[in-house]
Amino acid sequence: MKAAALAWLVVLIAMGAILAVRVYRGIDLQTDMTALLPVQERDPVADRAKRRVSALLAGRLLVLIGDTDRSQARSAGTALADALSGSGMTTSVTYQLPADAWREIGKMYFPYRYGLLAQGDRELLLQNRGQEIVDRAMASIYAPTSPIDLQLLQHDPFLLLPEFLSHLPKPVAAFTPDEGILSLQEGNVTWVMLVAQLNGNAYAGAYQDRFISLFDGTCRRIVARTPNVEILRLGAIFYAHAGAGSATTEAKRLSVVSTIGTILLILIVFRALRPLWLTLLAIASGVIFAFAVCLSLFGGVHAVVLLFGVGLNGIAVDYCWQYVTARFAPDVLTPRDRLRQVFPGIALGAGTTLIGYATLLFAPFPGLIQLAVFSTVGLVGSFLTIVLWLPYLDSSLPLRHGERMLAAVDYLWSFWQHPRLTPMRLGLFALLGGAAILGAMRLKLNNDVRHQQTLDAGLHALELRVRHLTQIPTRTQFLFVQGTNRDAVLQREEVLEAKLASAGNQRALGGIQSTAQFVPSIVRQHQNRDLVTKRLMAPFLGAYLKRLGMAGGVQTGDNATTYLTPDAIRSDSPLAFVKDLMIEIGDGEAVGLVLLPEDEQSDAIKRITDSIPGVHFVDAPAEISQLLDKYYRRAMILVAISVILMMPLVIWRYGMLGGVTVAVPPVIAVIATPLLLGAVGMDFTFFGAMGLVLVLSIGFDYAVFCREAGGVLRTVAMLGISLALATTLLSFGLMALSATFAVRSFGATLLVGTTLAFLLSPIASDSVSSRVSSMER
Amino acid sequence: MAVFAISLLAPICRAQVSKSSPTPSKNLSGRFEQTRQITGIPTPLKSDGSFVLVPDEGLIWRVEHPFQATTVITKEGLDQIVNDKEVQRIDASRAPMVSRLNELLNGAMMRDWSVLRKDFAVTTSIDRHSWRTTLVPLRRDDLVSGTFASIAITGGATVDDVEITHRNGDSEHLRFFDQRIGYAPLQPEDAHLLGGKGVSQGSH
Repeated sequence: MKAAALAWLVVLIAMGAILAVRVYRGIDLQTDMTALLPVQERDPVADRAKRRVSALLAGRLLVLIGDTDRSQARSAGTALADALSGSGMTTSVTYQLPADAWREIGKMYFPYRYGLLAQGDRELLLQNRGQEIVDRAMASIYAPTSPIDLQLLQHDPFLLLPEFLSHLPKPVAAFTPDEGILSLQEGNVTWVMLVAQLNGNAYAGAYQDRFISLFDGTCRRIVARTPNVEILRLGAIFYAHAGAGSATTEAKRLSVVSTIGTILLILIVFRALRPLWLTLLAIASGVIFAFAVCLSLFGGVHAVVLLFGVGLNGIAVDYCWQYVTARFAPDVLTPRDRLRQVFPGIALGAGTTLIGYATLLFAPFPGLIQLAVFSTVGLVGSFLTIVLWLPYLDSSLPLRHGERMLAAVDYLWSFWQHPRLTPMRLGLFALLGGAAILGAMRLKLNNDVRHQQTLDAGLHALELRVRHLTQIPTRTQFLFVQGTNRDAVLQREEVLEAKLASAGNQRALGGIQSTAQFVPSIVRQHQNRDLVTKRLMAPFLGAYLKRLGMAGGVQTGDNATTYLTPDAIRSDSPLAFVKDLMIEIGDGEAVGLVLLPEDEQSDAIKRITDSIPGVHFVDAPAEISQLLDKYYRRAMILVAISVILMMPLVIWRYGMLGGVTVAVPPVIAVIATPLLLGAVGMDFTFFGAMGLVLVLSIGFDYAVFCREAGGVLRTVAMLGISLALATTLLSFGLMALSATFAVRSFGATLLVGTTLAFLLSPIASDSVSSRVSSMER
Repeated sequence: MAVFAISLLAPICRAQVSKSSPTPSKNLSGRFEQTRQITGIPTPLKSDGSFVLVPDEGLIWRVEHPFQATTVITKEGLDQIVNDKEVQRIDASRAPMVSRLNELLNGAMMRDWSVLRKDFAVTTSIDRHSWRTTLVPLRRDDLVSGTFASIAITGGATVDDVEITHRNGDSEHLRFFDQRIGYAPLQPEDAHLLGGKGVSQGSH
């Protein structure tokens, strides 16, 4: 035994060293939810594009600064822009455009002008209504504001380029440039806009803290100087920071309560703290073991896996308490004897739990497979620590102060055994049955993350104001346009635009943003040049020039040999944002991103886009919801399968009837928990299903402990079970109070499920089950 | 760029109107002759027609010869109408040029000379019967004012003559006559044009 304990120590130290090295080098903690999708369901091109897009959108920042005094709003904006661009934390800060920025856009488009028709002009020419373009040109020349000169008339006699430019979609619908700064007049308040792109990960804690303190500090200085100024901000980093902040505060509060509660509990029960260190040691060694093995096997661990993995590993306390509470036994036993006494129970409990966790391996979902490995390996680690180390570390002195506690927990045995309590037992089942029926009627499955998000209320109000002012789209929904190269993507975007237009979806069309709106495809440019030469220049130019008294020297057709491509847009151009809408994947793949307007249009747009090959409607929250839904279904099936797989083990030990009896409490707990939660109006979710995996294993543990304990020891076993329940409730049950929907759902499931498993666990004992079955007869 | 000249009429119009009547429905109307000299085109482009200016609302500029076209400038933007069909509409929110023009127009209409002084050096000489104001842009790189070399406005009781010289050598000469201050409501047609809703939608 000593040799085995030492061997385990060596293994664990080695694992700890591996983990330390990995942590030192930086662990790749995956957070991308799509990484949890089965491989065959993932589209690598879409995946890479989506990651690019989500990183891009997560790093985007929009700030509106408002003041009744225009110049104060503007100088506040300048101060913020200077602070941001000087911080080294941004890749770009767009605030005041140089005076010639718009001229630069004109210069960029000018060489390609005959290929760039405004949509309206293109339609006029397609319908052979070129005369209307001629009329417009005449009207413009004689208009009082006409900025027309010979240069323009010679190179673009029908003023097609000004028309194209004036129909370019505006990056931000409501804001217009005012001396180079995008501004909006709202009543007597002037709003100016600043847009920035972060150069770090908005979800990384250290970067977040550094950025937020810079941003808030700058804002405070601005407000101190100009107290009337109002600053509205929008960006994933603000939500992430607030979310991390509130999650941290909540986690702190819950963990303080949980830690103090657990310490008090242990002090009261044992009048010593050593049992606390022992349980912590058991769990920590399991987590280190599992983490190191997972990192070596998978190269990285998903954050969700780590979270649930540590939770599932927490079940090791059950075995710890069985061993440690054996000190309350009336006979004086050596640690080794105590281990021998509880070993069958904890080995069988750990065995069923391992089966339960390993069942997750059958899921074709990478996340659940990782979780299965993490939790089984962790459990093995914890179990080894308990059986190999605890006998050496534990005090060998028996505990003699437990009489009242033992008497108290013995009531649960009496409840199930006392002949006169049969009506109460029947009543309990009736109550449970009634609540379950009510729950079955009210139970709702809800894996919609949009309902689960608990956004910071203050920030959300700010966001609504910003969206109201700017009318910018929400950016959680967009279209992906795939093609073999950029021009193929642009052509598809043009098809998409035409379909949206012909569907009469003017509003949708007005709000979308795509590359093709700024850079037509080469095919389209070629067609346009042809239209201009054949249907405008050829029939109308001669007469038109004559009316103007121009001698000639006018370019009648297009002689450009090259076409405009997105590369022509310079990174300091006001149109630089267009570059972000086109993603080249390489390997003959390109993806165009089309941003959509308001959410309420999405159904109509989705119907249209579904009919165009290569165009995909992406709704990020809906996709995560669907993913959770899939995981939920899989987890529920796996819970059922794992019950079936656990049966042979308990039947081997207790025989057919005994095995089934042991399964009764956990199975009732698993079935009744979602129903009871439904009865109190709580929706069931994927996170609840994960809770059920744990409830099932814990339920089997309790049942097995009850079954194994005989005679006077069964009271000691019940004390161990009670302690296990108390610590589980303190660490997981408290999560039912969380403001985060997922955490609350997991916590509530454990709260109800383990309590139920605890209350029903004596049924598993053969002395009780014979009574219960006789009572039912 | 005659809109500058027109906008300069406004304060005078307003001054006269406000002295005589507090009612808001006043306007200035009249006829114009425009001669536009574009370098490189031998014959100047001549046009004439009528205009209606309503302070705070906008300007209707009707070219009658050699080509019939109506231009309406309001704070919503710029509309061009040929043969009762809107051939062009530029929303002020879309084109920074137009919104700047509109701002200058409004500034002038509100007798807020500071708006013009932001972009131009303003010098005025007055003798017994007339005055002459010269505007020279302060910043040559400005998108709107920077295209002018100078603007000279002369007038007596009203603006009579505007001479605009562009930096590229082009020039415009505007002559205003038959000017009247009206107190009666606008013609329904004019009111409709200034209503900001434009006219019957054309092809767009």
